[in-house]
Amino acid sequence: MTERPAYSPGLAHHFETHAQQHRAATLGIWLFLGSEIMLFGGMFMGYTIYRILYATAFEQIAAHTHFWFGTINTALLLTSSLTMAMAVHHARAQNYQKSGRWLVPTAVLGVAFLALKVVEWYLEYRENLVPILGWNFDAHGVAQGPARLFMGFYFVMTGLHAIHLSIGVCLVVGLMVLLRRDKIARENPSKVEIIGLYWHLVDIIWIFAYPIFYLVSA
Amino acid sequence: MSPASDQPRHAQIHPGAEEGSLREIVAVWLGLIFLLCATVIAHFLTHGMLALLAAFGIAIAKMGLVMFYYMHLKYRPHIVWIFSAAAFLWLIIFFGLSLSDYVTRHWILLVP
Repeated sequence: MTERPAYSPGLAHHFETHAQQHRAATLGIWLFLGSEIMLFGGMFMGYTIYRILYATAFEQIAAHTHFWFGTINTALLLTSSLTMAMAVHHARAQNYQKSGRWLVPTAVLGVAFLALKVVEWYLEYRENLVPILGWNFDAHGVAQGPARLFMGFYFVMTGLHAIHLSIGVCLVVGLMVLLRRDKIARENPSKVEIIGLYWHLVDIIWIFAYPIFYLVSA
Repeated sequence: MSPASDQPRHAQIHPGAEEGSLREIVAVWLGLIFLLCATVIAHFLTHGMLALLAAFGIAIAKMGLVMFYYMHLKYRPHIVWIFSAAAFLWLIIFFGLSLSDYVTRHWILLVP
């Protein structure tokens, strides 16, 4: 075992080395991401069961989601993963200024995704496709029950995903502030990477939400 | 000087890690956009089960690229692989047992 330095910036008191601290942080975030996978997994399972039970109705009502909105949003998120990977790459090389610069397009792409999502939800509201609050629901000729179920899954899952992405945007903005104040290097340089892992997982969840809501139409 | 400060800070945090170059990061993004284009083309050209398989096959490929390269799984020790695989293993059990019920329920109606 190596002797612990008397003082090392960014090294918490219960770790021997930065490498050990980094390994613990990586394992910790993967454990958290595992719980997120299970949370969304339950919803995907619920969707799958109803998709099997009401296959035709789901295919018919899915034709009313906005395919190109979903596709453009997927491209935005995939690109935000690129910019986040760039930010992490530069943070690992201790080039915090460049890292901060790559976080700006990451946050912008995240906000663009959310803005497009809100427009899409508004269009669906105008088309009477929101199955909540006793609002008038128009199933567009599809069986009411399954159509409500599909749109219910759609709003809950895309809504929960949007909440996760909003948290991601806040974290990225927070990182930008810390980098600007030159605090990351002194406190914990793994922060950029840890938030990057969370961001990529939010991207992966969308990668699977995209086919189940936009690509299943008949 | 203490042992931890003998090396450059980058080496202290990521000892011996040769992780993704900028070229690799851009190549993965090009791959992801290519797969997205393939999804769109498959959506318009395929139907039924084939469309479903294409959509989810491509989604799994995209997830693989993001996890292995952007989330650095490729460069991580096996303990991290086990942590990431645990959630997926749970999903396999969850989907496997649930679907073994729902997919086979109507089979009983086929028994004379």
